[in-house]
Amino acid sequence: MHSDGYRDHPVRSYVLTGGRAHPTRNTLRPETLLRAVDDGRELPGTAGRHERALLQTCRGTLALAELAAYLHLPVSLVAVLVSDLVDGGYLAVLSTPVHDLPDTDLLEEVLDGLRGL
Amino acid sequence: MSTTTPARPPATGRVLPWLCVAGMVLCVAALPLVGASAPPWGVGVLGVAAVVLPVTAAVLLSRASRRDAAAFRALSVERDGLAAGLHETTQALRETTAALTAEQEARADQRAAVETAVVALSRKVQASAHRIQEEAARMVQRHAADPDVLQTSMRIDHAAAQHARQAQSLVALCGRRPGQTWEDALPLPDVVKAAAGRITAFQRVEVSGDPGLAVVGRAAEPLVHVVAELLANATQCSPPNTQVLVVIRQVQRGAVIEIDDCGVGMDPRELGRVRAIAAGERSVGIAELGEVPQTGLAVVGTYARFLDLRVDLTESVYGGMRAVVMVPGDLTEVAATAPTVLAPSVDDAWAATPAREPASTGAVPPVAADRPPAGPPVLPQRRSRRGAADGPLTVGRGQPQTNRPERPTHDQTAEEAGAWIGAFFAATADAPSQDDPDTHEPSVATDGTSEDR
Repeated sequence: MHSDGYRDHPVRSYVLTGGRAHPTRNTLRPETLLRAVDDGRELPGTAGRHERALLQTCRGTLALAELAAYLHLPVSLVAVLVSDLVDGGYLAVLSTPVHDLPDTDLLEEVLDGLRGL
Repeated sequence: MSTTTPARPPATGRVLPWLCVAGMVLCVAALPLVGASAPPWGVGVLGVAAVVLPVTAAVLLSRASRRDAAAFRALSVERDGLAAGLHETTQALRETTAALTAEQEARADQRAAVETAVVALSRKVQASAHRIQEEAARMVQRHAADPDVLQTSMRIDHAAAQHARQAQSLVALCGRRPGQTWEDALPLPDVVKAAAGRITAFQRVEVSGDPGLAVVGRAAEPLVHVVAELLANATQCSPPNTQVLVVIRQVQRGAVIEIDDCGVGMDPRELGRVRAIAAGERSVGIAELGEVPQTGLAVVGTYARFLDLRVDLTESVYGGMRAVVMVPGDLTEVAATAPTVLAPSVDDAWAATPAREPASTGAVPPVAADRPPAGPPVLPQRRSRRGAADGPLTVGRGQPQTNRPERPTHDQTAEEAGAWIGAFFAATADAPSQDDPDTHEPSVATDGTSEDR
């Protein structure tokens, strides 16, 4: 059960999303930056702990992939939860700066690093 | 009593001799009184009577004593016969008892052997169901950004979870502890969610109330199973378009989980029977299930006895049934507070500080740190076995684990984070298309995500 970093948890993914695997918005990508909307609204009482954790974690700006890693949940699952929170107006999507790429040396370094893992 | 009746001598046999003796005494006493006045024949009659009566008495007495002796002999014979019969019966009884005991022992052994086999097989089935769940979770991690894979994994996971529950029910009916255990305490809302995940209609379960209590690790799995069986009953016994409402409350002596369905309830006699089973007052083993096995409440009762839970079934105010589970205070503890507020990788400087430094090792967002000691509840997550290998990008890993929440904050701006991640995915993607959310290139990226630890 605990081999190779696989960690079992009694609460299964389909319960967290009510069985939905497809986010309501298809624009969410692992690198999409998110930030909690701080307008003083509280989450409804039926919201689960994961939603609350997501909002709390997202007080600053985080990428979807980072959120997923912090919560130890698959990215595609967090996308569903985040999507709902964005729909509810609790999270805001920040546009991703795609044109401002780091220089090639860094990317090569990253690639080498990944290959060397 | 009946044996003495035939040997009893007639009453006259005992009374007559004494009458004769009394007559003789009268005759002898009367003789001097009448001697003078009576005629000579009267005196003769009295004299004869005085002689004849004792003789008669003697004869009668000797007959009576012969009869008694005969009766006594008859009784002795009868007694001996009875004693022999009693001895034989006692012997037979003793043999039968011994045979019965042996039979009972053999049956108990047989039952124990069957139960052991059932437990062993059920545990294997349960383990294989958990392997299926694990594989499904790994599949999601391999294709972490693909919703279709997630969907498939969810279906597999759901089917396997029900599979595992049924197997574990068999284990419980054999009086054994559940095969699965959890180390960490489980918050009560998560108990209900975990339980909902093991029934078919999990979407109909609605949980409310969070008193901030958790059930201790050793009781987590049995409690999840108890709630799962009660939820399964509730969803099966109510219309499919209705919700099953679960309310969690804190009470003086622990916590209470109430499960209401909107079904039609139960007739009072049946209710009395199932209440005794669910409360654990009446034990139902695997041999007593009958032709139409109803395992749910039997499992609930078994675990209620194990954990000292108080389980009750009553009429619900919604018209159906209400199941109430009281978790005693020694099985609950204060739930760990909300997951540590993770410092974001970027802060309010989102729009400011466009100056970029190369996202060198220090600025790399540690997307995934090592497993936190007490993190938020998590789903399966893969970790790289190569965690010990130091690559150019792994400098952050060397920091103490306790610093994890602070790490992402180090001199990083929103732009840096966005730029780094954008560049990361852009550089590693094979397909140039960044617009289609369903392409598979994110899988490369998310592999990086889950392995970068």
